[in-house]
Amino acid sequence: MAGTLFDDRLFAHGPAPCPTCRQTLRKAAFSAQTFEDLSVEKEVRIRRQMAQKFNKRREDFKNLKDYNDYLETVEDLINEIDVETTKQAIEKFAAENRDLIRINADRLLNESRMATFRQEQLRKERQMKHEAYLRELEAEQAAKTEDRKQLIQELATSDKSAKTIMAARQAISLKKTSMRKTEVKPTAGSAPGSSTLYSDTFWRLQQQQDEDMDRQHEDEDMGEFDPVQSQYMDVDLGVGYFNSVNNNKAHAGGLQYPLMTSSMGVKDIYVEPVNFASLGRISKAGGYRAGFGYSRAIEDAHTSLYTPAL
Amino acid sequence: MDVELSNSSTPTSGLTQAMQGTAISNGQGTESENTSAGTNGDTPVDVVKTEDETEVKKTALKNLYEQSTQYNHWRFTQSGLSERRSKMNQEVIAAIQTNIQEERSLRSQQGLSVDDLPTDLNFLTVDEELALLGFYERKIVQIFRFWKLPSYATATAIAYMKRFFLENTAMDYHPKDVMLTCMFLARKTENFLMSIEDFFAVLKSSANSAESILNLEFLVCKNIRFHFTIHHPYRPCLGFFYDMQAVTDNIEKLQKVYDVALKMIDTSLYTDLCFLYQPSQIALAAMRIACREESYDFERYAAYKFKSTEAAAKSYEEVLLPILVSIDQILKQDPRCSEVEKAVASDIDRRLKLCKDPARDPESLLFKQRKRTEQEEDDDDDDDDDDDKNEDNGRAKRQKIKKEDSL
Repeated sequence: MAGTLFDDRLFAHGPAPCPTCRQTLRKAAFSAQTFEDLSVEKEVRIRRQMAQKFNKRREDFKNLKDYNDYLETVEDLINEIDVETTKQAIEKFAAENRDLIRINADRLLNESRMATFRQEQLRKERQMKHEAYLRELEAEQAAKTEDRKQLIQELATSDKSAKTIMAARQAISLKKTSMRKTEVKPTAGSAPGSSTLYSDTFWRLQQQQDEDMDRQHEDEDMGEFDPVQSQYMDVDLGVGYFNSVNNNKAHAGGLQYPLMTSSMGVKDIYVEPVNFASLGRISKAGGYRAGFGYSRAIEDAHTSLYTPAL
Repeated sequence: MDVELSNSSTPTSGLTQAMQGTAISNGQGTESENTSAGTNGDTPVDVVKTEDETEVKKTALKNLYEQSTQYNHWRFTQSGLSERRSKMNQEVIAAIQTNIQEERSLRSQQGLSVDDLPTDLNFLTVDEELALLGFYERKIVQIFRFWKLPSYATATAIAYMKRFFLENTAMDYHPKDVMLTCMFLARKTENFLMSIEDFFAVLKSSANSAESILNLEFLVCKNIRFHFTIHHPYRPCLGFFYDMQAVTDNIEKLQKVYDVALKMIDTSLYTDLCFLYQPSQIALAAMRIACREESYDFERYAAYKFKSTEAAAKSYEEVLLPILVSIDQILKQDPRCSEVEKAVASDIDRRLKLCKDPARDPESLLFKQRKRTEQEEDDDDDDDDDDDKNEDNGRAKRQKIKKEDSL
C-alpha cells in the first residue's frame, strides 16, 4: 500500500497545502531519490537547475581569470542562504545573457548528439569486425572440409600412388599458409563506405576536441607564474605596440588590432590576425602564421588604388 | 628604411604579382617592409632587360583584384548607370502599356470590366524605384544584424540586389522577393549557410513560401551572371588602419577614426559607389572623411605614404586625390545615403502593385491567352515528331501499306 501512496493517492485531488507550514505543494515538485545522501540529492538538483542557465564556457571569456571569476560567482549563488536575492540575481543573469545561454545550450545538445552518434558508429564498427571474423572462421572451416573431400576423392579415383598425391597436397598447403602470413589483412574498419559515414561536422567536433585538449595543456604549462603576484597570465589577442614613425620595424604581430565597435561588426577571418595561442595544432601545421592576416589586409588596401574610374 | 619598388625582375612572393604595387616579402610577418613600401603610383615597366642584355617586352601581370569579375564586368560610369536605368525603365513602361492595351481589348471583347487596369500616372520613375530598393536594402541590414553576421555578408547581399536591379526593374520582380532570395544566396556564398526551412521559419512574415524564395534563386544567379565573389571596402579599410599605425601618435584616436570609417562604408553600400570606384579607393576615402570628422591628421599619413617622391606626389594629386574628393562628394550629396521613410516606401509599393504587368499576372486574360498559344505551338511541334503515339497516324500507316500493296 505504501508503495503506491505517492503515485495514486497523495496528490490525487491536485496541489494541497502542507499540514505544518501551509505552503502549497505540487506532485510535479517531487521526484525519486537517486542518491543515498539527501544533501547530495539536493545539491545535485540545485546544480542541475543552475547549469541550465549558467552554461558559459571557457571560450566565452577573454582570459582564464575572468572564467574563474565567473565560476566563483556561480558557486556563491549556489551556496547562498538568502533565497530571494539569489532568485533575483539568477533572473538578472538569465535576462542579460539570454542569447549566449541559448547558443551554449545548442552547443551542448549538438555535442551530445555527436557523442551518441560516434558511440553508435563505434559499436557498429565493432559489430562488423566481429561478423567479419566469424565469417572468416566459417570460410576456413568450409575450405578445410572441402579440401578433405577432394583429397579422399583423388585417392579413390586417380592412378597415382598415395605418396605422390599427399606430397603434392603438402606443397600446396605450405604455399597457402606462407601467402596468408604475408598478405595484409584488410580490417573491417576500412571496408568501403565506412569512412564516409563520418560527416564533416563529426570531424569538426573531433578537431574542436583536439583544440580543447591543446588549450588545456597550454593553460597548464603557462610558465612564468609569479606566486607573489597571484594574477592569472593572459593569453590575449595581440594588443601590442604600434610603430612610431621613427622606428619603422614593427614587431611581428605587434600591430594593434582594432576594437570591434563598428555598427555592423567586421570580423572577417581572412584578414584577422589570429593569435598563436588560439591557433589549433592543425592550423599551424597547415602553415598558417599570425602575420598573414596583416599582410592580406594591407595588400587589399593598396591594390588598384590608382586605378582611375571609367 | 626605404624599400625600392620592384622595378627589376626580382620575384615577389605573395599574392600580388604586379610590377606595380607593394613589394610583399614572404608572409613571415616583417610588416615593416609592407608599411614603408608604398604604392607611389609608379607605372608598370613594360620593357625589361633579360640576362643577355636584350630588351624584352614584358606585359605587366595583373594583380589579383584586376582579374576579378567585379573589376572586369561590373564597373560603370555615373552617366552610364543613369542612362541604363532610364532606358530600362522606359522600355518596361512601353511594354507594360502595350500589354495593358491588349488586356483591355481582350476584356472588352468578353465584356468584362476594365476599371482596375492602371493608367499612365501610376508607373514608377527611376528615382522612386531606387528609393524602394533603398528601403529593402536597409531591411537586409536589419535582418543580418539580427543574425549577427559580419558586415561583408550584408554587403554581399546588398550587392547582389543592386546588380540584379541593374538588369531588371522593380516592376517586373518585386524587390521584397528578390531581397529574400539575395539574402539566402549571400548566406550561401559567404559561408553562413542556413537551410531553406530555417530561413523561411525566421522570415515567415515576409515570404509567401519557401518555394517562392527558391524559385527566384536561379533567376538571381543568372542576372548577376554567376559572379558571386564581391570585393568590399572592409578589408582595405582594415589594411589602412594597420598602415596608419606607422605614423600615428595617438592609437586610441585612430581606433575611433577606423570606427567612423566603417560606418561610412556601411552608408556607401546604399549608393552606386561599388560600381564607380575600387574598394581600396572607397576605403581610403572613408578613412579620409573619418579623419576629418575626428580631427585626426590624414595629411601626415598621405605625405608618408603617397608623397615620398616628387613624381609620386604629382601622381597622388592628379589621380588619387580627385577620386577621394569625388567619393566624398557622393557620400555627402547622394539622396540614397539617407533613410527611406516607411510611408514613402509603402506608397511606392502600393503604386507598384497597381502597375503590374498583365502578361505576368496568372489571373489576367492576356496571360492565359499567351499560355494557350504557347501550348498550341508546343502541340504542333509534338505532332511532327512522334507519329507512332498518335492513333490517327496509325491509320495513316495502314493506309500507306495498303497503297504499297496495291502497287
